[in-house]
Amino acid sequence: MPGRFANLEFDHRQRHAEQRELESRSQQCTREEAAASLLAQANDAYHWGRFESALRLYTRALKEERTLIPAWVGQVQILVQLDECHEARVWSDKGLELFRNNGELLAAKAQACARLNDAKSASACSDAALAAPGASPWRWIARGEMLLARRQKFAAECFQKAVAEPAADWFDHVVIARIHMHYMRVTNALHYLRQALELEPTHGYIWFEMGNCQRGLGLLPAAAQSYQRCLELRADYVEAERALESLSDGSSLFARLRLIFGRRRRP
Amino acid sequence: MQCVNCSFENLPGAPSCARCGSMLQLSEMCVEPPRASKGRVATRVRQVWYPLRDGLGRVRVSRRKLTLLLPEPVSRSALVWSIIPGLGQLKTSRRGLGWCLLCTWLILLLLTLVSLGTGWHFFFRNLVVMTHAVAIVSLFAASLSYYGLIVRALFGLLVFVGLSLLLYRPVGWACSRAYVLLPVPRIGANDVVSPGDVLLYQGPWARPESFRRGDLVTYRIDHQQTSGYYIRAGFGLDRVVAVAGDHVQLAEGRLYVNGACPLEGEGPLAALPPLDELELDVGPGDCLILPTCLDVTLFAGHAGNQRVHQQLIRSVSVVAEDDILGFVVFRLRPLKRFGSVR
Repeated sequence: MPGRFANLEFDHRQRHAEQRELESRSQQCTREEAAASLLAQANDAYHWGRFESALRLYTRALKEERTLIPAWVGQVQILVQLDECHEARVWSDKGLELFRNNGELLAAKAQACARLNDAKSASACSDAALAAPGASPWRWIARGEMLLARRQKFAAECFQKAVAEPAADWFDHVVIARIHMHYMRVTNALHYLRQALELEPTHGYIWFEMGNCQRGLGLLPAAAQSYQRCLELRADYVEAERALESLSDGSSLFARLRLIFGRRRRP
Repeated sequence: MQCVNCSFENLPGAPSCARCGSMLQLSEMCVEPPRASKGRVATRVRQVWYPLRDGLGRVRVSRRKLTLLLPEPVSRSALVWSIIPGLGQLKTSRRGLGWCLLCTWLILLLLTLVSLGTGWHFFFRNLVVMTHAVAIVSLFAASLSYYGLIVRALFGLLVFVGLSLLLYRPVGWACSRAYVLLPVPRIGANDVVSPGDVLLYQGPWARPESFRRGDLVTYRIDHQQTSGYYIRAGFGLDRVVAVAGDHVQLAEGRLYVNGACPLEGEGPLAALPPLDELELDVGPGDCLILPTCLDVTLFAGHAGNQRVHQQLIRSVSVVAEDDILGFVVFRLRPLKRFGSVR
């Protein structure tokens, strides 16, 4: 007979269970830490305009922790930056399967739709993003882009609202500048980059983007100075070196014209 | 199983959250995003398709409103009434603009008619079409405000070209089939028509089947060249002196038709050609038009040759009715002699 107190004597079982729980917790902690670390690296790569490596890092972060919403949003944003808007839209839908009505993901989908010229879906997603709980600069940025794609006059107000959000930082200004660059509004892009420089004057990527803007405006000496400044702040930034080389190669009239009129292409 | 989205506790093994519908099986979820091909074909195709789809979706012709690729509906009746500029605006209760456009268009149309045969005609005609285009474009103003300057300019240009080709050109062509403009650059001196006059003659649609004596007509002259004279192909302008079956005699500088002198207004426009004698019968389907105003080049040495003159007059004056283009009905210029020629 197993005895009626048999069930009370489970010290060793309890110890095992506790041990397993502790192990899983520590594993969980290490995974969360790893995911957070990868996410930080991915954000850093994104902030330096290295989209391919940022995408890989976001993916690795998600492999560690699938519930990391910023990584999902980052993936969609980077797909858009890589001009893979259809894939960005598909991927945002995938993310939304996991996080229904998530404002950030909806905003990212709105951006992808706006770049695909799907005005209706972009508008619907942007509305849903703003209606979702919480607030962030990114939602207003996506809203601004959606309006800018439809050439509506309230786009500027949305961008203003985005940078006025408490969570807004220098990179939001850069994102807005990149959006303006995409829609060939280079002077507006320059304006936002100047604001970003006021907030973070020591980040080389802002100078790099400023160089791109100035090159788009045909201000080649100023662009060269900006790239130079970027290299001073980060000597190993290959993209700035390449851009500077292409500027120095573009001394002939034809090359200058190509630089001015071919400003959609980024170095 | 707790939902990562809304923290709802679901039953173990549930595929999706019972509250928000989010997926619960996270471990099965792929986190590698799809990547585009090198040419970004899917993106490019959709970038073209979505605006097309939206545009096609807006083409809805209903009973009352016509929506034509535009975000704002445009009244169909206003568009139909805009066949005359300004009426569309009057229909849509924009009376000030409507009357302004209508009056401008009428004034320009009048100026276009008055300037027929002058260099100003082209200018005024284009202004008329432009006013019409402005009237139509203003109906679409609300919709066009959604688009950029280039799209608006292209739309205006499209309306202008469309009106020009589909309305004004056909109307102009139809008018020219009924009445044709005839500038008279060189003509012999006479009381009825002077050099520089701009006349209107009946075109193919208004031309009568047969002509009567005294009709001031314009007729086609073919190129002719013989040993004594040279006639360049062109148009002649004179009165019909005799019709089919008439006997014409020219003797001692006087003209007789069927033995009698023509009545006033039935003879040639100018003095008779200097011929000693001419006698002929007008055959069926022919008319006799003495080319008194015709500018004919005679070769040197033949100026006083009666035989050459006679040959010339015979060859030019008998005109087949089919070669008569029509009779002259109206004088447009000079303005002080504006009015009916007959």
